[in-house]
Amino acid sequence: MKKFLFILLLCFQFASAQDSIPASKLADRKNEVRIDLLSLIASSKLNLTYERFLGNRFSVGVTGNFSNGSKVNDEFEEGNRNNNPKYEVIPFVRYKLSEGMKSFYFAEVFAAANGGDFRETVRKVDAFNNGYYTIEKSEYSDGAIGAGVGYKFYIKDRLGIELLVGFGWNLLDREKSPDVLSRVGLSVGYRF
Amino acid sequence: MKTLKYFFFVALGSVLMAADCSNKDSEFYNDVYVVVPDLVQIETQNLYVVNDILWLNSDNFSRLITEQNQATPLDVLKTTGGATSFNFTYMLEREISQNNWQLVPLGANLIAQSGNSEETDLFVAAWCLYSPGSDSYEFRNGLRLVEAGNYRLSFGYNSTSATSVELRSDSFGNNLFLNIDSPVSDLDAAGNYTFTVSE
Repeated sequence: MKKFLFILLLCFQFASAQDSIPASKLADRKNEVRIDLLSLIASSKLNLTYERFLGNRFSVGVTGNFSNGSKVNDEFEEGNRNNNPKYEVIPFVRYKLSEGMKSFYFAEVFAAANGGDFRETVRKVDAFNNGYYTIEKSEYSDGAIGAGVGYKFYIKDRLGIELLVGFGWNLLDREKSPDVLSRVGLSVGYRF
Repeated sequence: MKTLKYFFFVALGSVLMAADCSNKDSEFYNDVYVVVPDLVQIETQNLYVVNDILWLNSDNFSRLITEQNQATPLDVLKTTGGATSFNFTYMLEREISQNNWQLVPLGANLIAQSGNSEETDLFVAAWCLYSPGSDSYEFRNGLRLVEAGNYRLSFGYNSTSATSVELRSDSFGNNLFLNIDSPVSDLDAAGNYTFTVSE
């Protein structure tokens, strides 16, 4: 998967020739909504983003991420992982690294409120005063900060294609939550 | 612009590597590890002669075992969701020249009085079987010693501890796997019970 993304990103270099195209209607369109197709197809994860462009360089936005994929659920039930992330709410700030309006690189910092299910093995004592080990499930919630980089280009000044690779680190309850949150996606957006 | 692109790809590589560094989520969480000494014993003799039988015995350990540092016995049947057997491995070797040991093919000389055994090219796989009648896991295997010489018995094949028998429950579905590390007092530091069989 990572190799595929890397190759895809290299391919996007060729599209950067559009950087020289003068500013277009994009400058007047300050809002964008998008959906991450990669997460949806690969992980059954619904990932929706709203982004507001503040000026020539900066933009802010928020991503909502909701997951209930059977693969992760099965891995969780079978004991191949001890947490099962369910949601992420990710506010972010982006800075455009290149000059073009129709295609550009960007860097971002983000925070993430995230949560899901957690499982652990605990020793209990039954009514006959005998011990036994069992799996106990609970919920976790945590906060993360992270950073990422990406590349974006527009088709017909409306349709945005975006590749993003970023990672965040949970800070508050790492016994239960994942150490690392990945923010990797290939999104299609609509700018208005 | 070129510098920017290089920076971009270096940053991308860095975050991908950082992601690979975290393997917390790739472990197996259905394993439970406990230590219970001498769950499998060697029925030792002072002297061995040809055609003697060396017995290995789980002493029909109860489904309730004494777990170190716990005030209550551990119900292994309940912990494993009703696992009907525990497996472990052992090897019998004979010294064919000085410090040169060879696995002894047992064939009909492997006597499974209780429990199950299966001889492979590398070791003997053994199973302590749960008996509802006695509420215990039963195993007693005999190894008939048909040739004179120096022998050694070990439980260390594919194990993390040479001086222990490592029993693992044959759990089904998403139930817990109970791994019992059972130190054997008759083994030396290298994990062998060494003895001589005379004519």
